[in-house]
Amino acid sequence: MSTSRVAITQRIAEASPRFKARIAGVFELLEALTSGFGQVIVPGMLVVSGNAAATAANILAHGSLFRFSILAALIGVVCHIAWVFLFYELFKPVNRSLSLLAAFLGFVAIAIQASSSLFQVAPLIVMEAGKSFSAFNVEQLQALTLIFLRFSARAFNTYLAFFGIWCVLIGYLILNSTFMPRIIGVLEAVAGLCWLTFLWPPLGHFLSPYNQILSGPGEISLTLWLLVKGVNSERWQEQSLLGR
Amino acid sequence: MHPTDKAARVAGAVYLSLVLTAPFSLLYVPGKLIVRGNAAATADNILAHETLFRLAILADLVGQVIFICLAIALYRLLSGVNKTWAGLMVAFVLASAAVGFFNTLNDIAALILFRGADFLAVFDKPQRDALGMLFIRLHSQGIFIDEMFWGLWLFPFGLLVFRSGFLPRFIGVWLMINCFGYVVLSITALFFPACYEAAFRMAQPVLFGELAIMLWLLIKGAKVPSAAAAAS
Repeated sequence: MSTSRVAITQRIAEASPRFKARIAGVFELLEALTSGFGQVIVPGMLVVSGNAAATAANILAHGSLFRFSILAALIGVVCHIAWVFLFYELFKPVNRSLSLLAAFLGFVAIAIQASSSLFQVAPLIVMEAGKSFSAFNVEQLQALTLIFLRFSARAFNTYLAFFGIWCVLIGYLILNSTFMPRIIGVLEAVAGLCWLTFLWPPLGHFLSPYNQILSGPGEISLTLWLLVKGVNSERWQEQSLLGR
Repeated sequence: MHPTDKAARVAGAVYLSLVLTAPFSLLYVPGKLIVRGNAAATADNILAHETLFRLAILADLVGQVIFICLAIALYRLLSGVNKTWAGLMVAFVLASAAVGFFNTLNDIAALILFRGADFLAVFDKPQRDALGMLFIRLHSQGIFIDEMFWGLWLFPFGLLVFRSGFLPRFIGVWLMINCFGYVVLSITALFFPACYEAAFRMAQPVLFGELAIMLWLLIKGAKVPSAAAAAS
């Protein structure tokens, strides 16, 4: 009885890196979908750059879509926390301190991502404030709305730069791991360099959409590999035993 | 005292300090100074009680630091149960604290606008008051967003309490329900702001899960089976 119990415990321990990798893949996919919807697609639909009046009219006309985009952005932040944390656990056997450094950078990126979605709430306050804002005329209120949406977009750019550093470190860790294909590490590091161009927004926008397209293979191959294959559990165990 | 029991009492004491300080900046000061829908009255109140307002900002910052310390204390207590869930619990707390730190900036912006430095002279006083009020509102929206994380960290926490064997299982379940309470409140604030206060009142029994675990950790500590009992 007790030996079978030990065997079961061992099986769970062996399955766990692959299981964790799959869950990380699920959260990565969810983050990409919700954050993309909330902070890229919906703002792209509603914000008319340089036109505060049209932007405000769009947001008023699509109030619940706008609220959903904020909620989606927040859910994206939550998924990102789980994803970054699971990556720390997965790559601890490769290099413990580098994996921890990547997690710290990832959490700073996530904090900026969350702040960026906080700025998205401001337009709702301005538009629904009523009497408190009677000191401003309509054009001024619309300009205020646009300012906050731009803050949000700028904060998101800063987030992308930090996220880029995280991707480069993860790419390096994959390259040095024995349990994932090295090519995915190279592609992920390239994706990180693409996101890093947003460190200087004019450069990031000048290279857009090519930098976004170039980041695709890394992010997509990583997500798919984790979802479909997970990691090679035996090699993962080997590397974690070697590291000790 | 058994090391686990000691870790439980330390976590309980840190928790108590958070429960004692948080209402000051979250409830007392805003309730005293902010007049809803009236920017001019809010500005007058805050300027008349500027030190109180600054103390609330300070308490807010100190609260975030205590929250991080609480996460570390609970990690020490519960990481033996399951390292992954304990790590996830700390990760959610760190995100919450980061949002909280950032959010105090909104209160500071409001104060700058209400005081009206000379470079702000280009705005009329009613305009400055309205802008200040916007940042006050943005601060409370930031709290609603942070509620999402106040909830989420409780799920791994509750799960670990449930599985620990040295803390009562019903409090673990209560904490996991408490998680959903905050998440629902956060979503209510975003989609149905008018219903928020009613929802908050109704959620009280759920939200007392945190008070329960705090008191249990502090008073009862961790019930670790003695070495003799474990050996037999």
